[in-house]
Order: sequence, then structure tokens, then C-alpha cells
Amino acid sequence: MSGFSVNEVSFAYNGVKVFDDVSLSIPGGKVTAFLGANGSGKTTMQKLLLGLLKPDAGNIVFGGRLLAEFGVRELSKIIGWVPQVEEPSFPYTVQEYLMLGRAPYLGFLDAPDISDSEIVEHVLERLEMTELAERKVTRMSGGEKRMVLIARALVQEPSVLLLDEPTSHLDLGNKSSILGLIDGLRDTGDTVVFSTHDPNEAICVADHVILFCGGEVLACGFPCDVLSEENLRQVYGADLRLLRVEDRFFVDFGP
Amino acid sequence: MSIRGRRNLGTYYLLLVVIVFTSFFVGRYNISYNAILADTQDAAILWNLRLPRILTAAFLGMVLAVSGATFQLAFRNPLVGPDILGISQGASFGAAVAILYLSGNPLLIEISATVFALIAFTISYRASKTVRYGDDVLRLVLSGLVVSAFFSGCVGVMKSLADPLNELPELTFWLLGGLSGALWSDFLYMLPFAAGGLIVLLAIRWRINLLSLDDEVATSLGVDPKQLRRVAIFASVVATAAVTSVSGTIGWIGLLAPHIARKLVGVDTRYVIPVSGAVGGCLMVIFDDIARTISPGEIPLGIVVSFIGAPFFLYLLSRRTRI
Repeated sequence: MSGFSVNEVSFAYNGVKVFDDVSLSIPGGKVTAFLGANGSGKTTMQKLLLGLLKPDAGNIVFGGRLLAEFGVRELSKIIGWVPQVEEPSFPYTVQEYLMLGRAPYLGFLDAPDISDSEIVEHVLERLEMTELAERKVTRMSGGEKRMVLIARALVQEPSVLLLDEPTSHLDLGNKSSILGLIDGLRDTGDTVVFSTHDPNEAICVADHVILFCGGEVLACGFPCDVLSEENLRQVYGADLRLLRVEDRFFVDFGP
Repeated sequence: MSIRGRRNLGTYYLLLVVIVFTSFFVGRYNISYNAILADTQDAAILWNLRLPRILTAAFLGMVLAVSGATFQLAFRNPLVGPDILGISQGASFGAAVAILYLSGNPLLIEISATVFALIAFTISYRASKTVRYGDDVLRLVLSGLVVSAFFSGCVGVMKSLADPLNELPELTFWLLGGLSGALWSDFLYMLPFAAGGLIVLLAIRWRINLLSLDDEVATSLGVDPKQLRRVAIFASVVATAAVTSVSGTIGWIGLLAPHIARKLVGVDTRYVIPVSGAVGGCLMVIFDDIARTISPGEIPLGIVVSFIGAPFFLYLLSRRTRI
């Protein structure tokens, strides 16, 4: 089980500083939530973990090895990514679109074969999406589209899954099913990192929370420790209260 | 028929072979099918004039269609093709320069066409980044329009510089897009570049799908999208330049054939690329049959293609859902 440790990383995007000397660690085999307001650096940190962006200073270690030492293809077999938005340009069927997740395992001249189809089918079954297989990805609801992106990442057979705001712009039912899915991934021993700006989601499924505020890590650790009224007020700049109901707690941000 | 049934690639290429074979016997000069093996003047016309022309038409159609399908994926843009991006016009200009000033050596014509096709493509692509109107799809089409017009203008300059008695008629007819002078020598010079480009694109045809994704997503799937795009585009441009240097600018097929192919087999490039090729080949051979036979003289192929391609493009633009 391999986690990440981010050591004294600085990163600027087109000259604008996003991170300055940030360190954090993400435990392997657990569900970690990146929590923070919009623009706090959650997406940028995921792209650094994916190797899509390179730190200007500092380093990232994954499973005891420098992330920079991994090849793009090697990394794509280990880490799956679910981007926040993706608009397919052509009306692929779900089955065809998921097959793109096999790219890490196929050489330049290869095409997927029957064993790749079986992996796609298996993922569709696991996510209870089999009846969507022949649907066009351009004609799906927001929730279905998000499920397709998650499914494609699972087709990569990664041991680490990074999800960028997987529940944004979804209704309650879809949010709930995606959180349920993330919760289910815990049992497979995979490392899961998802970002969200809703503290309630972090409380629901995360084992570990990293609280981002203006490009800095304000706090990290168990949800119950990190998600204090004081921290959340600082992150969101809003007056809010934590309500304890049975063995859970919720954030009330109403006026 | 189910989509799986329509994905049997052999059927499309069998159709192409049938159309090619049937076209042996289509033309102003009537040839009966038992002339094939006879040692007569009919056989000479068939083997020395008609066959190279028909095969050139087939390759022309295949290359333009496969290139069109590739460009559409590489730019996530269903409205582009080698002519829309100005590549065909750039190749025409390069070929015209070589015909007039570089002794008309077929190999030099190929090379000059390829170089100018690459220049035209580069300008289209770079310029589309500076256009501040419309979305990415429209921007590339607009900058391609500009580049096409520019290179068409350059070709116009070539025409005014050509000797009006000897060079101009030949150049003009060639530039309108035609295969009337296509001989075995033209076909054989074109073949290695055209076939080479086609083989590369067919070999990586599944992977071309990955170009439809955002570059970051493709990278997260272990793909180097820039390298893949370069390989795909280079193969397309080289092949397009090769066929264009024989035929002159032929539009529309690069746009039409991939759309027909996607209608038949869906959007997966594993099927779209080869089926586009077959569809493009079939259409071009049929169009050239029409060009050869419809009037006592000969109508340039480019004009036949435009008469059919232009209305089809309008139809595509008017459809609500684009593919």
C-alpha cells in the first residue's frame, strides 16, 4: 500500500504562485479528502500527484520512490484520474470510451483484444452500469457522465484513484451514489484521493482530510480533528456551525 | 443491419475492388470485358491508361478520407479535412512551383508538395490559436479558410507566370483537380508516400481515438498526445501531398467520407479509419468515372466532387447533432 508524501513543494502557474513550500502526506490504502474553497489549490495538487505538473522546488515521493522517476506509462498503470470536467468530442459508446482506459497496457501499434473487453465488462458490472454500455457518452446526464469517467479510471486497474470534485454540479441522488462508490473502493485496499468543497462529503467517506486554504495546508488528519468550526470558518470565510446528530456531525452554514 | 455487422471491414474493401474492376469498362472508349487478356489496342488502353488512372483515383480517395478522419480526431473537430486546413492547396502550390521551376521531376514535385503542405498546415494550426472569434472548432476552420485562400492565390500567381501556350493549359487543368494525365509513372511515384502514410495510420488506428481526449487526460492514460498527434498528422500530410501532386486540389472527400463512415460504424477510429478509406476510394473512383464519361471532353474531377460535396457539406452544417 503506497501513499504519497509531498515534501516542501513550491509551484507557480504562469508566474502565479499556487504553492509555496507545502508538505503533506497521503496515507496508502485509505480515502483522503482534499477539502478547501474554490481556487485553494486542490486541483493543482492532484495534477502534481499525477505528474501532469512538475514542482518548481521540493519533491513528491510515491511508495518510497521519487514520483519524477516514474515514466508516464508506468504511472498510468498505477494512478487513475477522474477529471472534474470532460466533454467528449465524438459520440463514443460507453463501452468504446471505457476501452480508452486500457491505453496504458497497449503498445503503439496494438488494439484492445477480448481480454480488454472483459475488463471493461467487469468494471461495468461492478458499477452496475451494464445497461449503459451501448449508450452514447455525449447523450448522458451529468451523473452518468461522471460515472463513466470513474469507470474509465477503474479500467486502468490502478491502485491509486484521484478524483477531482467528483460530485460537483450533481444532484443529491447522484452525489450519494458517487460517495457510495468511493466508500466501496476502500474495501479493495486502493488509495483514493478526492477533492471537494463540501465538508459534509469529507465527513461522510474520508478516513483522512487535508484542509487547503489559499495554497497552504491548514490542517490534516482525522476528519473529526481537522473539521473544527474554527478551521472551517477560516477556509470558507463564512459563519458556520458544526451540528452533532447521532454519531455524525454536519456543517450548518445557513444565515 | 447491426453495428457489429457493419463493422466487417472486408465488405467495404470488397466493394472497392468491385467498383475498381467495373470501372475498367467505363469510359468514352468502349471496352468489352474479354479484352482484358487479349493482345489488342483495347487491352493497351485498359492496362496503360485506364488502370493507372483508376488505381490513382482509388488511392486519392483513400488517402484524403483517411487523412480527413485523422485530422477530425486529432483536432477534436468534425468539420476539418485536408482541404479545409489548406493542406491540399499548400501541396498544390508546392507541386506547381516544382512543375514550373524545378524541371517537373516527379520526385521533386512530391517533395515540394510535401514541404508546402506542411508549411500550410503549420500556418493554419498556429493561426487558429490567434483567431479571436468563435470556439475552437470554428477557429480552426476559419484559419484554414484563410490559408486555403492564400495558397490558392499563390497558385494563381503561378498561373500568371506560366507560359500561356505550353504550360498554362496543363497547369490549369491539373489545378482544377483531375486525373486525366495519370500514368503508371505518376501512380508509382505517388504510391510509396501514399501507401506509407496509409499504413502508418491504419497501424495506429485504435490509438488515434486517444487524441479525442484532453491532452492531460491522455497523459494520465500513459499516452504522449503530442508525439501521437505529430505522427498521425505527419503521415496524413505526407500522404495527402503525394496524391495531391498527381491530382491537384480535390476537396470535400476528406470531410464527406469520414462522416459517412461514422454513420456506418460509429466513431471508434479502429473502424472509422479503414472504413473511411474504403468509402473515400469508392466515391473517388465513381466520381472519376463520371468525370471521364459524362461529356465528350473531360470534366475535371475536382468539379464533379465539388458538385456533390458542397451540398453534402451544407447538409452536415444543418444537422442538429454533429458527428
